[in-house]
Amino acid sequence: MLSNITIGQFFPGNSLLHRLDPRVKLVLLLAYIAALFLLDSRAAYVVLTAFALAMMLVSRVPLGTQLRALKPLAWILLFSFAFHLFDAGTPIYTLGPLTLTWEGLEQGIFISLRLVLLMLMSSLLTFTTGPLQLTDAMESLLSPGKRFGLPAHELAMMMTIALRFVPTLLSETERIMKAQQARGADFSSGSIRQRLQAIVPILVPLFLSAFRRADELAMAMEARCYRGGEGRTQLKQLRVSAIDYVCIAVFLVMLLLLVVLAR
Amino acid sequence: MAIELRDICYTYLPGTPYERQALQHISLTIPEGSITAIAGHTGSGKSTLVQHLSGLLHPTSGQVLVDGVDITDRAKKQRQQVKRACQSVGMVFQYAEQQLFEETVAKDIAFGPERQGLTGEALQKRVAGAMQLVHLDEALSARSPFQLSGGQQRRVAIAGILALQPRYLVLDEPTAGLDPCGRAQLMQLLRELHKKQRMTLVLITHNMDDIAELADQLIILHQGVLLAVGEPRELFQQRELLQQAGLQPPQVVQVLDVLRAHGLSVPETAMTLQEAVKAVQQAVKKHKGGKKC
Repeated sequence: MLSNITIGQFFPGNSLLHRLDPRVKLVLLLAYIAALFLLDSRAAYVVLTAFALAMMLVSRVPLGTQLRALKPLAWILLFSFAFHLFDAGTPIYTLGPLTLTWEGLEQGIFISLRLVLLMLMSSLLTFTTGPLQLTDAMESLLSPGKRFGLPAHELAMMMTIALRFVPTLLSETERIMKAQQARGADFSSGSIRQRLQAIVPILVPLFLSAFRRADELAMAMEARCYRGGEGRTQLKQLRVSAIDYVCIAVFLVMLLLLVVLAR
Repeated sequence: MAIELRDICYTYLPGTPYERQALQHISLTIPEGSITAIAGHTGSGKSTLVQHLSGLLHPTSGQVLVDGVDITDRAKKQRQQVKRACQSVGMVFQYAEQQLFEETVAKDIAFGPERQGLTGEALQKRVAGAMQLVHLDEALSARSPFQLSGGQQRRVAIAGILALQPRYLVLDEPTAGLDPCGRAQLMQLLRELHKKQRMTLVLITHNMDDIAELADQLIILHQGVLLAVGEPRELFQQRELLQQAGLQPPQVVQVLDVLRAHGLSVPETAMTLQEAVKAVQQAVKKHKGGKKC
């Protein structure tokens, strides 16, 4: 049931990617995505795909698990692929008012590949980086913005708390669903109207407990004199180490290769 | 007639790094008319185990038989029978008051029987009957459940299950988080349900004194393995077993242990307050007689 949903989907391990500084991972991912959207030569895509495959193998996360991240994307992929098939160009086959073209086929493959790589690499980040590390990285990267009034710490804290409570709320939902099922509630059959009505006995207790939890958490934080990020230190300091520099170097070499190929 | 577990195994999140075997090869019988207590340390699999009794969890392997019907059977033609068997087992979750959602007490209690297809007068009768069983005043039926005290809320939640008229009632830590008064009331309520309604009770509890007073069968779980099944009186004498499971004998038994260590010859089998009082009186009499005072 709900236990099958993995949000945050961190996959504990000790691979090279797991040990990288989360800030480096985050920035490199953004650079990769930028490259993905700026370049559109065949050679560039070969290099980018090869890089993605290499990273996927290095992470030691089972490939099946990684590919499952594509599942929610399946319809969008299919749609965008089909949509481009009939662009103007050299015709391959005519089907009524629609004409299948070589250019369309190529464009369709490009677009889908772009989405697939985007999804795979982003989920690779969450697979190899714990949610707390990730928010630490965001806070650290956003902190220069503090000078212009950007509440970097508060944003990161909000994200941390939200992530922290995802599993709690999921297990809570599961518990309440079971409790109502024990009273004869049925969530999986009946008309759409009936199914929507069946959600009420879950939502009311869930909201009540979420508000109660929020209240308790706020109180507990105040009781421990929490007052924002001013002068706050961290238990786990982020540090850019030798392997980080090596990875940045490898990535830069790849970018260079891409730029050369694009000429 | 009984609930029978045959070689139950249950694995959480199979095929992920978080995979965990919560129950391992558990076989036991809960005879009709008994009061069965389930004890064990946190994470020993108690809650997972009881969820199997009413078909809320399906075992990874093994069978659950409720009155002879295998409720793990997913064949289509068995579906009605399985559904009926599951309905004869009522399940009261931990902090059951957190499942309340309706505007009034009566409406919330009616939720279950309504799902069974009851309407009109029969439904009202069922609700009133359930409220009576848990000693809730009829005047409360039009109130919002969220205005009631914690103990009352929990009784509303239990009434919501009793309104389904189960023959077996499973309770997961029914007294957790209640004040002493609410606890005493609830334990009294369970005693009545067993005596007057002839209901079979299964309860998870950490309170060994309650077990000593109430239960005639005790199941001890430890890290997903069935450590012992038997009469509480016998199991409470096996101190090493209790220690292994991270449990302590009832307070009465502990007091008698201290007395025995100081030379008073009280029997090891006493475990309720009344028994202990009698045993101590007798021992003191004998002690004095021996000294010829």
